[in-house]
Formats: sequence, structure tokens, C-alpha cells
Amino acid sequence: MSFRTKLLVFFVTTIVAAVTLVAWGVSVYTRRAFEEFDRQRTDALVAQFRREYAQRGDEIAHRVQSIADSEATLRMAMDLNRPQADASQYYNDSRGIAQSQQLDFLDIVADDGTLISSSEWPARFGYKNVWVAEEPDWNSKGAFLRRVDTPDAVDLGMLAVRTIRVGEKRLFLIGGQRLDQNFLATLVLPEGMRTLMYRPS
Amino acid sequence: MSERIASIDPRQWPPAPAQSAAAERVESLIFDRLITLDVRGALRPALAISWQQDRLAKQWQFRLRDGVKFSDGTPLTAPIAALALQQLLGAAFDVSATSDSVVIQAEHSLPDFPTQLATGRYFIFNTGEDNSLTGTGPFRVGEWPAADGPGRAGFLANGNCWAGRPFVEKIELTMGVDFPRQANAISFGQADVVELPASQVRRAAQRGIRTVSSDPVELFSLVIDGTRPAMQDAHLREAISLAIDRASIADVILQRQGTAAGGLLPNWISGYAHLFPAATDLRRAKDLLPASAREHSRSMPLVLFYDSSDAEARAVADRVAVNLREVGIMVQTSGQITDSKTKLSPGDLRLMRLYIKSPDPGDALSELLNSIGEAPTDMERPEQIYAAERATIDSFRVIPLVHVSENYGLSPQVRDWMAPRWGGWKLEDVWLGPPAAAGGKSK
Repeated sequence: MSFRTKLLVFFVTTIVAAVTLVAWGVSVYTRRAFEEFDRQRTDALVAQFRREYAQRGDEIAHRVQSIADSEATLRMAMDLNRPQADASQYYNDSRGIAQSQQLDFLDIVADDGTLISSSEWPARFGYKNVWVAEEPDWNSKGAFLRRVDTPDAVDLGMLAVRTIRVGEKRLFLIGGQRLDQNFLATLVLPEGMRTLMYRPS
Repeated sequence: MSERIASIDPRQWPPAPAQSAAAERVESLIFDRLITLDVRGALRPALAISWQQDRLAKQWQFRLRDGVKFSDGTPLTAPIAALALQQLLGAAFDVSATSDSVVIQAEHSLPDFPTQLATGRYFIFNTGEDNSLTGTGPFRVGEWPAADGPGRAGFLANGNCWAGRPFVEKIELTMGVDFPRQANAISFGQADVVELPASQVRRAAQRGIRTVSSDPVELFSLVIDGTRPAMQDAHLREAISLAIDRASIADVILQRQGTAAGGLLPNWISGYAHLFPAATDLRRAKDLLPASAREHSRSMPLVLFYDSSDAEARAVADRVAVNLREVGIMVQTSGQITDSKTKLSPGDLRLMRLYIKSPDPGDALSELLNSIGEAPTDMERPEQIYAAERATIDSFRVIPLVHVSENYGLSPQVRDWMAPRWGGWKLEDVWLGPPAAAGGKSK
């Protein structure tokens, strides 16, 4: 191989290596920058969804709290605290209250967990909601997800529980909204973001 | 009133129980029967002042009251009364007239025939040349609504009424008005008398509306279609009966205006209702059902129909479904129009309101069995009545749920509302005065 050829090979190799190195460096930098940007965007979107979701939870908790704070509910709690109180007269009350507060679910539950009135399944009165009586302080808790039985299906609901204490007895209000496609559609999401929900049957 | 009836012709008696009950109320404003029942249920002379029977109780003779005139002035005669009864009783009876009496010959013995004639559609009417009907009752028809118009009818006092002119000059009756509109009408002073569903009586009283209730005269019951394959299993039918919590239906859905029913007849009529306990027994209900039956029920729920226009019926049907689900019997409830024009779809179970139209146990049970398509047997003696009821209950072809009263809301002006124990109206005794103290409840 002549010197001239060797020189040519050397220069070509050097140039190719330099170009490859620069290209690789640019690629790595670009990818990292893009990944960082994408991560930041995703974090921002998720944070926005969480804010929106938490805001919805707060709204639901606020609506249930509004029901708990109303004079009619306080009167009901006082009435039910009497000896031999007749809970049957409140059997139909939850439907109207739920509609006025735009809630899909509202259960009025006695101190021992007995369902007094249910907007989503009125015929279930008298049955027990044991879980609600086991938590000592619902008023400090926010909204949460829970399966809700209805006559035709089992729905997923974002629920909040508030209690009214009169004397030794508590009256529980379990209110919430159905978590379905309609719920997701009402969330204010950034452009390009789409939420999907998977519900095992 | 919530029901709407097409005509006041007793010959065109509506078959649906709710409609026939409404027709009886409206037609009793215009027509009289030969015999009537007083507010305690005892037989009293009406257009007939006396009656007698032959030894076998196959032939009955009713002597007519003198001087009775129809609202158009036509005198009541034995041939007119005989013609009316012949059309209502049908070919199984031979109705003839003597100078002052109607003679009815039956094919078989009818010891309770006067009680039968004192209830139901056995009104005496006269057919005019234009085919219009007139009666001898306290009112005559002033206005009858067109079939497609608003259901407002007007009745005017009948000055010729043999029992005396009623106190009120005119009655305006609006038919086909749902219960919420009726409740609004009484609240806003737009009506003097409205029907109240049992579930609304307590709330109406809390709002200061006067309420009156009869003794229990309606029976919510599940009627089982025994021809459906799923319902031919007697254990399943019994399990359904044992799983239903009747007390909660009476106390909560019907707001304590009903009583849990284990039998068909209420205790005030039969006196032996305690022999038909209405207790729930979930353990026995579960024991009666094999696991395979529960599995089958999950894949193919039973269908329970109810009257879609009846909010109380819907609530009761939904509650029954919840109770049955607890023992593993899945039920799908479905509303259905139950007027006389619509053909009913076949269902495994049907929630029906059955009406008790007579204080006589035999007649009341016969009517109940007739309305669910059961053939009544001889029910002359109390033990026969009990045996017939026991056989029906033990077959679980009909499952009684709750006995309910008939309830009305009255405006403060209404005075002397003296309805019979078994419901209905006696508007000829009512008068309107200055408003009395509001609120309260009376029987």
C-alpha cells in the first residue's frame, strides 16, 4: 500500500469515526432531551389528571358535607336518635337529596350500619352496610373508590362518607358519583391526553 | 281518581280488578241495587224491600219498593228490573217479573245470593230509546267525557231519588289523574276528595291534609304462572314465599299503612288470618332450593311483572327481588301496562293488587280467586271457606304479601264522610261546610 493510500485510509477512517462519534453524541443527547421532555410532560399531565381527580373527590366530599350540614339532615339525625325512632319515614328521602346535589349514589345509613334510604337501590333498605360503621372518623377522610351494588350491575363509584353525630349515635351519609366513561369525559384534560378505564367484569 | 273507565254501563264491566273497583264506585252514584250493604256489611233493603227463597235456595223472590222513579221520571217496575238483572246475570239464571216482584231462578243452590246481588255490577238500570242508561241512584250523569278527551265527568243531584236528594248539587269527577297530581290538587284546594296511595298517607297527614282509611281491602300478592316451566317446582314456589320480608314492605314501602299478609282474607273479614303466618324463614327457603336450582336461576332469572303505572307496585316488586336474591333466586322486574286493551306478556311471577269487594268472607274469597283465575269451590260454611283458602295458600300458586287500606284525602270543607269499612264512596251523605280544623286521620 502506498503512502498516499495509507493517508487516504487514515483520513477517511478519522472522518468516519468523528462523524459517527458526533452523530452518536447528538443522538444520545437528543434522545435524552426528548425523554426528559416527555417525562416532564407526562408528569405534568398525570399531575393535572390527579389534580382534576382530587378536585372531583373534593367536590363530592363537599356535596356530601353540604347534605350533612343541612337542617333537614340534622333533624333526621335527631329524630333517629330518639328511642324507638321510626326510620321508615325517611325511606324515600335519599333520591331527592341525591338529585339536588347531582350525586349518582346516596345512602343514608344508621349507626349500626342499617341502610335507611338508598338513591341507587331504594329496595335495599334494611340491609347492613357494615364497613361504614367500622371507621371511627369519616369526616377527616376524602373521597375514595369503591364498588357500588345497584339492581342491575356493580358500578365503580367515587364516594365520600360524612357523619352526623347526635348524642351517642351517628348517622352516615355515603354519597358519590359513578366512575365511568361519562365521568372521565367530564374531566378537563390537556390537549392530546386521553383517559381509558379498564373494568374487569 | 287514578283509574279511567270507559262507560257507566254495568253490562260492560271492565275485567281488570282496579278498573272494576273504579266502575263500581262511579256507577253506585247513578244506580241502586236491589239490596245494599250498610257500613258494617249487613244486608239492607234498597230497591227491594223484602226477599225470600225456596227450600233449596234456587229460587229467589225480591219484592220491589213502591214509588221509585228513575232519574228521567220513569217509574221502576218489576219488568224493567228483571230485564236489567237478566242481562247482568246471564243465561244461567232465569229472571222473571210478577206484578211487584222480581223472581230469579238459578240452576243450583245459592244461599248467599242476596250478598252477591249487594255487591259488584248488579245494578238496576233502565235503557232509554236512545240506548242511554238511567238509574235510581242519588245522582244522574250531567256530562260524560269523550274517549279521547280529558276524563272529566259531571254528575247532578237526582231530585227523584227514592232515598232523598243528596246534599251536594253537583259532583265533578276527574278520571285518569295520577297520584302526585291528586296530592297537589288537594294541597292547593283544587279538589275536595282525592285518592291517596298508602305510601303517601302519612306524608299527607304531616302536611295537614285530612285523611281517611278503610279497613284493609286490597291485597298485594304474587300470582305465579304455573304453566311456566320454572314455576312448576313446588319447592321453588314455597322458597319464594318464605324468603319475602312482608313486614318491611308494610312498614317501610307502604309507610305502616299495610299489614303483612300470610292469607288472602284480612282478619277483619275472616277472623282466622292468624292461622296463616307471614313470617320470613330464610334458612328454610335456602334449604328448599338445591344448589343446581340457584345456579339455574343465576343464568336464567325469573321474570316478575308489575303494573308500570303503579309506583307502589314497582317498589314492592323491587323489594321482592332483593329478598329473593338473598336466598339465591335471581329475579328480573319489569313494568307492564295492565289496562284492558293490552295483551299481557307471560311472566313467571306477576305482582297484582287484588280487591276485596265484600265484607262477606265467602264472597270476598270467591272474588279474589276469580280475579287470579282460580275456580272457587263451595264456600257456604266457615270451615269450607277456610279449607278453600288453605288449599290455595298451600299450593303457593298465589303468595299474599300485604293487605292495604283504601285511603282518601279530604278538603277541610268535606263533612260526614261515612264510607263503608271495605272502601268506596257514599257521596250522597257528604255535604260541604265551612273549613273544619285541618289535619288528623280517621277510619
